[in-house]
Amino acid sequence: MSKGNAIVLFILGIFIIFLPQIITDNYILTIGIFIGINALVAMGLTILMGYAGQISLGQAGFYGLGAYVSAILSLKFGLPVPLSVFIAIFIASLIAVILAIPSLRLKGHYLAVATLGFGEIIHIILNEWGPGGPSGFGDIPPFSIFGYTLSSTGEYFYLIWIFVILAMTFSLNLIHSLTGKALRAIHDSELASVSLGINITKLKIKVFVLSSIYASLAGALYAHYVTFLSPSGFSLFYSILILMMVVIGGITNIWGAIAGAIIITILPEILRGFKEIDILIYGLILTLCILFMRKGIVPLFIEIWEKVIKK
Amino acid sequence: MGKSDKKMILEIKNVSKSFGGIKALKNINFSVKEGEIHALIGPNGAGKTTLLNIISGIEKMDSGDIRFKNFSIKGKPPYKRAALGLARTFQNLEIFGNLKVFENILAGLYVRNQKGFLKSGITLKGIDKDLITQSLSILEYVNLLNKKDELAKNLPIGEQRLLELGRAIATEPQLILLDEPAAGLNMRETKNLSQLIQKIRNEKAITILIVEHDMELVMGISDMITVLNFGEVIAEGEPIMIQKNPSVISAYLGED
Repeated sequence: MSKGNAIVLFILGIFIIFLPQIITDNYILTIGIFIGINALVAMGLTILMGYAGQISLGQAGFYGLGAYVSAILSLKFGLPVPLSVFIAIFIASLIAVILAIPSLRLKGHYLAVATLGFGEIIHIILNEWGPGGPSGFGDIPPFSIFGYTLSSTGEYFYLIWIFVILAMTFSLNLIHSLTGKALRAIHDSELASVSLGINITKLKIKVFVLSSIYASLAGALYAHYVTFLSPSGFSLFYSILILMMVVIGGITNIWGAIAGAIIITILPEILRGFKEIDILIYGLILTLCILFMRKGIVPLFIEIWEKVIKK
Repeated sequence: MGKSDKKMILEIKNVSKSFGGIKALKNINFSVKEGEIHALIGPNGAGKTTLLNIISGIEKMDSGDIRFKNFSIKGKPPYKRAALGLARTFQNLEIFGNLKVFENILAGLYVRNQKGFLKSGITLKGIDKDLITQSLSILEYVNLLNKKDELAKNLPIGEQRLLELGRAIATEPQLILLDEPAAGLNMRETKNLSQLIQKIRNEKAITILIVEHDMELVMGISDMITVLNFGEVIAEGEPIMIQKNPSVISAYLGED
């Protein structure tokens, strides 16, 4: 990790520690929790798209898998919550490997197609066979560890953001390692990468599995926070939403995942005052973002910052 | 002749390759001696690049065998061949344009210095200083040290070719395949390149197999030349013999 990233991460950590102390409004903290959950999912997709050059349209599938598996294991089988979260992540990453091996051995965007299908299959399974079917189920045990059960919004805020910061640390370390350079090399030229001895298929599979771990972890945390699940939150729309966060935040910078999550999560809340035309304004803002900030917000800000410093 | 005192590092045995109905390579046989600069020449469409792609593993041959350091590498994927000590450069440059110049070299250092995915994620201090130093010394070797922090895509073609060469050296190969390294270079750049290729062979003891159209360069640096025409080996020998060979002259001038 570079010095600059370590400082930003440290500031973020301080901010996270003090935010629930200063703000007691549960509405704002709840939005903060959802930003964290979305950021976690978006982070995995940023590494996948920006560093391994692959698109996934099925992150909602892993997110839903994490949520449902962890919820069912703890509710119906009485497993301790941390264990059921762990098993949910394990199952999701296993499925990611099975999905990735055939589609990543081929050149081109087969992974996008495979994940699109996978996401839809998961959505249909949750609808048909999930507890409660389309209307979902509740009474999911809240998150508890070492006999302590989390109850307040502030506690969940801490829980989610601890994982966001851990995932961010792992991601930054990875990106700034030699493996990170190899990943970016794959993005620029697969032909040259293999000729330099980089096993590109294996690396791409690992990045994809990492993205599935982040997404299923986010899903499991979500399940134990809201304690109620229904399939509607795990459709293709959520995958597209995550894709939007990644693109608007900037795929070439991992911080873009957090920036994108903040924007896409907050925007509908701000636009609530516009009543019927909110979706219109939402669409307009996103279109303008894509048109005028192709690289995404974070890379754009870095560009401006570097210009200011040079002057 | 002294033929037996050196080992063969690369042996091409009865290699054939067809694209659809066209036979690109017919029963190719030749060997590259360890420590030599071996050139592969021939008119356009003779099958030179196809052969290089087959040696590096990017294309598959229909039949035959390729032995590298006395082991068959038939069917081995390209990344494994690179790990064995086989590096290459590309005719249509394949640099990592969005990486900085020194990061391109780091990508080359990956194969001998990789740490594993998980370990990379939990190691805080990033890339070893030692590797950065190594990448800079390679850049110095190919005369690109002053460009180390530039984005590779912003380099002129001549320097991009040097960068590819540096990146290949970074993988610590025993054999480098050069695919038309002088294409797009001016006379001065070509001269520098020929000196660099000789330096790499002499100082680093790396064998070179070069495909090149610039005859002055080829004749100036090669120990041995193999001539391909329409997918067949039509001549082989030292530069002075090749220049006088009637079938080579007719292949190039199109006479019968």
